[in-house]
Order: sequence, then C-alpha cells, then structure tokens
Amino acid sequence: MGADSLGAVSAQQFMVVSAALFCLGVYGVITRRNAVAILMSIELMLNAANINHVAFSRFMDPRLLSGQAFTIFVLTVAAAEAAVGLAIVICIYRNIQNINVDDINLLKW
Amino acid sequence: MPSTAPSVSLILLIMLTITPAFMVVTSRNIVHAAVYLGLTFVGVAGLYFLLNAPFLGAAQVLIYVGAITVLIMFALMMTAQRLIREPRNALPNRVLAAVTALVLFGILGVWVPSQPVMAAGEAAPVGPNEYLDKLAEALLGKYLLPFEIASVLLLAALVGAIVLAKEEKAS
Repeated sequence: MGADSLGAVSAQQFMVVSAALFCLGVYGVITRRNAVAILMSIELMLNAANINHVAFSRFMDPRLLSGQAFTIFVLTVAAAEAAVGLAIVICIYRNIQNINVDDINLLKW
Repeated sequence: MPSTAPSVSLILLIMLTITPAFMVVTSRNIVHAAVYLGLTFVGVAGLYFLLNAPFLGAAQVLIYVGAITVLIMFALMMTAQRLIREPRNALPNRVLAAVTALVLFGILGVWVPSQPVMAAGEAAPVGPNEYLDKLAEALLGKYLLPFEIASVLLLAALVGAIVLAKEEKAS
C-alpha cells in the first residue's frame, strides 16, 4: 500500500461515519422548524453522500478517480442549491416576516 | 489488511465530524448551529485528506467552509432576530424522528457495511504526482459533458438567486 497514513483504514469505517452523518441530517430535516436550519441539515446529508463517494473511489477504484469527479459535481450542485434555497428563504421572509416552515401555509386552504 | 482498529487520526476526525453535526441538529440557537456546521465541514475535509483526496479537501474548505457557511450566516442575519431561537418541535415528533434516524442508521451504518460484497480488492492508489492529472483526465475527458452542464447550472443558479432575492420596487 502506498499511503502509510491509511494503515488500518477500511471502506466500512467511512461508511459508518457517512451513515451517522446522513441520519443526523434526516433527524434535522424532520425536527427542525426554521427553513435555514433545514437547509443546513440537507447540507449534512450531501456531505455524507460525498464521503461515501470518496471512500469508494479510494478503496474500489483508486486509479480512475470517478468517485472524486462525482464529488466535485455534487459540490457544484450543492452550492447552487444553497444559493437558490437561501434566496427563496429570504424572499419568503420578505413576504410574510417568518421562516418557520410550520407557519408557511399560504397555499393551504 | 493488517488490523481492523481505526487509526488515531481517523478517530479524531470522526469526532470532529460527528460531534458538531449532532450539535447542528440539536442546538436551539440557529447561529450556533451554523458555526457547528462549519466545524463539521472542516472535519469532512480532514476525512478527504485521509482518503488521498487533497484536491477535494481543499475544495471542501474553500466552498463549504468559506462560501456556504458564510452564505447561511448572511441568510440568518437578513431574517429577524426573533427567529434565531427556534421553538422546539413537539416531543412525539422528535421521538419519531429519532427512531426513524436510528433505524436508517441500522440499515446504512450496520447492515450494509457488513455485507461481503463490500470487502473489495485493494489496488495501489495513485501517487501524489499523478493525482491531479488523473482527476483532470476524469473531469475533462470522461465527464466533460456533465462538467459543462454544471457550469450552465451554476450560471442559472446565480441568475435565479439574484432574481429571487432582489427587492421589488416597481409596484
């Protein structure tokens, strides 16, 4: 093995970390009420997916780096999502002075 | 594989990733949650470095820690102070959400990694000298079309965010 710093590291350990991060994100998306906090939880979940991409790229496909290329695309889409999502939140706040998702019920009858 | 015990650096990075992530979803103060989110991103960047992906680690620090956290802070500062302290969700909802998350963790974090298919072969990783070459080849060769689409997506998101957040004065 080339990298000695990776001595006893396996893909499974990173999968467990990624799963923990993803589940924390799921918990946050369900329980949070502030729209910005929900966006933060979504970022956690995207990061969990990225860790898995990079770990699989490192342990299963270390020559072609396809997983790392995909991570860069996820990073790009996440940046776009954050920008548009936060713009929507600010737009909602300007209209109803509130960003608690329980109170945003304009389209309910 | 010499042993299955994780190395010290991995344990430290996992702590640096998971602990702030827990605070992100439980802290009642949204600004504190945003700061903890930045810490989580730093931990994930460390994991990338540990996984032989230094370019991604640097990109993670630049984009997530540097840009997205600051963007979230901006959004928080542009909304009202009274919304900074978030009201807690009802207890049954939180218990249900915790059960859902734990079951999901049982599937994703315990059952899936224990599957034999995951014990894949070990090939030598690319060295630091050819790492960037390989990544550039992947991005600009095999994945050229998604790369260009991503640039168009960024432009669309830029324009869309400006249009959405712009103050309307005409009326």
